[in-house]
Order: sequence, then structure tokens, then C-alpha cells
Amino acid sequence: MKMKLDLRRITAWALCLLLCLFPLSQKASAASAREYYTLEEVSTCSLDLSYHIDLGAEKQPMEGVEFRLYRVAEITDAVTFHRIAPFDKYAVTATDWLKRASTLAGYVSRDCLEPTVLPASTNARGVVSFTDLEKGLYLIVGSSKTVDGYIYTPTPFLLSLPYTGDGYNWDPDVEIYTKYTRRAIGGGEDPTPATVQYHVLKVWEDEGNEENRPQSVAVDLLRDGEAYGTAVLSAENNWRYDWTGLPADAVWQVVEQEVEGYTVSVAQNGITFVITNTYEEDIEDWKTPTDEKPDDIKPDDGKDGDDDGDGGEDIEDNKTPLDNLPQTGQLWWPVPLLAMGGVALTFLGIMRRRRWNGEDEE
Amino acid sequence: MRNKKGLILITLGILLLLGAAGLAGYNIWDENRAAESVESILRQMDTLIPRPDEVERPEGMIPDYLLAPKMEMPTVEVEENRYIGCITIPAIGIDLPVMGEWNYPNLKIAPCRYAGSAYLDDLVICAHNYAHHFGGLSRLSIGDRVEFTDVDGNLFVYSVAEKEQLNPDEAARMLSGGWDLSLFTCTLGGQYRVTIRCERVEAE
Repeated sequence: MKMKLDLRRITAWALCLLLCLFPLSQKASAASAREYYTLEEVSTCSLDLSYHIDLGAEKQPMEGVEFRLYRVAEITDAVTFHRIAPFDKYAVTATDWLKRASTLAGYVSRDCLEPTVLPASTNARGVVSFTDLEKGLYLIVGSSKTVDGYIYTPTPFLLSLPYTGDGYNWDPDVEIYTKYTRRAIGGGEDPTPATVQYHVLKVWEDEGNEENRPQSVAVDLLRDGEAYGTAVLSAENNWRYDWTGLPADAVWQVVEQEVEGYTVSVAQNGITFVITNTYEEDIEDWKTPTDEKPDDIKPDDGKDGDDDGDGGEDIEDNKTPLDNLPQTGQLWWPVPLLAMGGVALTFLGIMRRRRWNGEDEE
Repeated sequence: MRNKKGLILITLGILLLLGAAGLAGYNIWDENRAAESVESILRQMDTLIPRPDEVERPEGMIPDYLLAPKMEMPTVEVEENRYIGCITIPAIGIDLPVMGEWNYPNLKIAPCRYAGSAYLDDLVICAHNYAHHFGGLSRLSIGDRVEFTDVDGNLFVYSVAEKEQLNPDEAARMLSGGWDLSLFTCTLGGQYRVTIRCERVEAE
């Protein structure tokens, strides 16, 4: 079981190197003319991050937006990520990298973590540069900015520095564009109300281990990174909650309070936050920083469910408790038997009495 | 003595007839009770869950089950039991609540989820063979329409694709085959399970 989990983690984290830049890096992938190095040859890295927003036909550089870098993991010789403090204490599910970044960004806000390097803001061209960065996996988080009635928020993401496309050639100087989300804040000509609502939904991925679930889970709502409210999710409210009437000109995040035995990932889609908790039997093996074996963040075959990886249905683990199908019929079959038996016995009895009466008369 | 034997036979015969009448009477009473029970539950559920054409969502909100198909099916509580939705089969004139978890006491009240989820297209529902529950399943024909509405008002429409009879010990077979929806109940004699397999179709 542990080996299967490790293999899945290794695969996923290796894929992260390739994938985590894709949605964000037009420049990095275009840098094929650059000189590449082996991982050992790279001493420090640099990052040029561009942030432009689409305004119809033109792109506008976003000036004065602060970006913060958090070094989440170091890169091992085996091209895996070895998480470092304080990020090694967060039981974040190692599946989807944007979700993972989003989840970590929530913890960064809630716990007021200090960035690894001094924050810097974009210039008039919408570019911010970081130099002399230690090798590692970085979480990159940007501040929100309001433009023409919309609040723009850079999408948190994870980035390997140096960058590699194949695990052999490493580029220490990375240039990327960042993605963003946009939400109307109302007012002016915009008909959108000045309040918003958010919906949080909890999903459990723990087939066969449902008994390990807690009765309830607390979820914190953060307004611009500060605690605003807490919702308690349980089976009673179908593991869902709605916050309504929230000021629209703020950035809202949700962070789940830790659930023992489970990893977590948070994904936002529109006004809905989906918090997925995955049961991990071996969670302690890779959470403990003092463990003799490196707690490399390794990985996942990208498949959901079907934990044994055989691609088949795990019928044995199904909730359905019986080998036999339930008896769903009324007890009708004895009715005709009883009735026929009754008629036959009554008939025989009458016949016998008649015969006995006849013999008596004779 | 022979006269006595005749009397005993007649007495036994009458007792058997009374037993048959009593059992039939109980079954009919039980069936009527079940019918009244689901009617009462449906009336209450009507006030708790929106009809599919009345569902209102904030702009930009995607239904939960599309965002996270692995979510638990939400439930509403009626008379201390939790229900995941309603099943409607026009061809046999039934409209029934579906309880979230099955056990024998629950089955005497309403159809129950046996396994799976409508969101993962593997829902299996079982019910008693009361005339007002799943007693008419065997009359369904290929192509008949089956509807399931969850407690959020999401409508799932299915078409009957196959009918089969399973042995009581074929629980694994009941869950296999990749059917989007399966319904089952006992045959009249209770020896087999009438099973209706359905495929999901687009809601009109």
C-alpha cells in the first residue's frame, strides 16, 4: 500500500515539474534558445514574472501588484520535492497542482507566513523580478487590485526554480506570465450588487474508511487574508454552507481546520469552494520532518478513486453490507398453500364425517 | 373415533383457511400502510425540495454535483429519516421518495438507495414489491422513462435498457455492468430479484 502511494506521489511530483508551468508560462516554454544546465550546475535562479490583464483587444500591464514567494520544498537529486518547514506540516493532497497551490495559499494567509524573499511589486510594464533565489519549489502569490469595477487576483501557483521540461536540462532564469481571476465588485454602471455570496462544499474521498471521518469539520472564511467567520460542516447540513451578503470589494478564501488522517485540497470555481479530504493511511510517513527516510513529496498516478490502481471496481470495499441481496418481498407465497391446505382438510373432514354418518345409518 | 377424526380435519382446515386469510389481510394492510406512508413523505418533501424547473442558483454557480461528482448525495430529513430524492416512473404510475440508506425497517417505509450515486452514474435503488412501491417493475418495457430528482432539484432522466432476474446471492452482479441506474425488488415468490437496468439520457 505504501509503495503504491509512493509510486503515485513520485509520478505526480515529477509531472509537476512539467505541468505546473504550463498554464502560466508562455515565455518559459519559448526559451528554447537559452543555455541549459544540469541541476548540480545551477547555484541560484532568477524569475521575471509578467502580469497583464485582457481588456478587450488589448492587454494592460498591471502595475504596483505585490508578489510574494514562499519556498515550499527543495529539489532532491532524484528530482523530487522534499518539503521544508513550515510547509511540511500542511497535509495537502498531492494531486492537482493548481488546487495544491490554492490550498497552500490559504494556509499562508491564515497563518500569516512570512515570504522567503522580500516581496516585490510589478513595474509599469507589469513585470516583477526576483534574483538570487535558492533552488526549490516556490509558491507564488500575488495581491489583488481593482480596475474599472473589477477585482483582479493573480492565481496562486507552484513553480520549480530552476525550471525543467524533461528532468535533465534545467533553466535557472525563468520568465513567466501569471494567470488571474476577475470578479465584478459592483457600483457605477455595473448592475452587479455590492455583495457576494460564497458556497463551500466538502467532498470525502475515503471509500471503505468512512468510519474515520470526524462528525464535523470547521472551515474558516478569510477576508483579505484575515479571519472573518467560521462554518461547521457536518452530515446534518450535507457538508455544505453558504455565506451571503459579503462585501464584494474584498478577496475571500476558505481554509479548513486540519482533519486528522486526511489530506486536503481546496479548489474554487466561481462562488463555490470545493474542499476535498482524502484519507491517507501513510500520511505520518511523509509528514514527519525528522523521519530518517526523506519525506519526499512523491506521487500519484493522476487517477481518482480506485485506490488499488487496478482500474477495477472495489466491490469488497463497497458500503453495501451484505453478500446477499435484501429480501424485498411480502410473504404472499404461503397464502395459496394455506388456503389450498385448508380447503383440502376441510373437504376431507366433511367427507369422513359423511361416510361415518352413512355407516352409522346402515 | 372416526367421527372425531373428521372433526379434527375440519378444524385444521378452518385454521389453515383462517391463517391464509389472516396473512393476506396483513399483507393488504401492510401494503396500504406503505402507500399512505410514502404519500405523507412525498407531501412533506414537496415543501423541502425544489422542482427541477424551479431551481434558482446565483449567477455563475455550477451545481455542486457537476463540480464534485464524488460528493455525498445531499439529503433532507422527513419523519426522522433522511431521503436523497424522488423516483418517478410514469409507465407504472409511481412517484416515490428514496431513502439514503437501506435496512429492513427503512424498506417498509420507502424505496432505499442500495449503493452508488446518481452523480457517479451507478445508483442502485431497491424497494419492497408492494403494488405502490416496486411491485410493478416487471411490467416495465425497454425504453420506458425513469426520472430521479435529487434534493437540490437536479433532474436525472433514464431509459430502461434491460430487464433481468438475479439470484439473491448475486449482490456483486447487481453492482456490476456499468449501469447508470438499477432498480430491483423481489419476485412475488421472493426467490429472485426483478432487476431493471437503465441508461441515462438527456433531460428534455
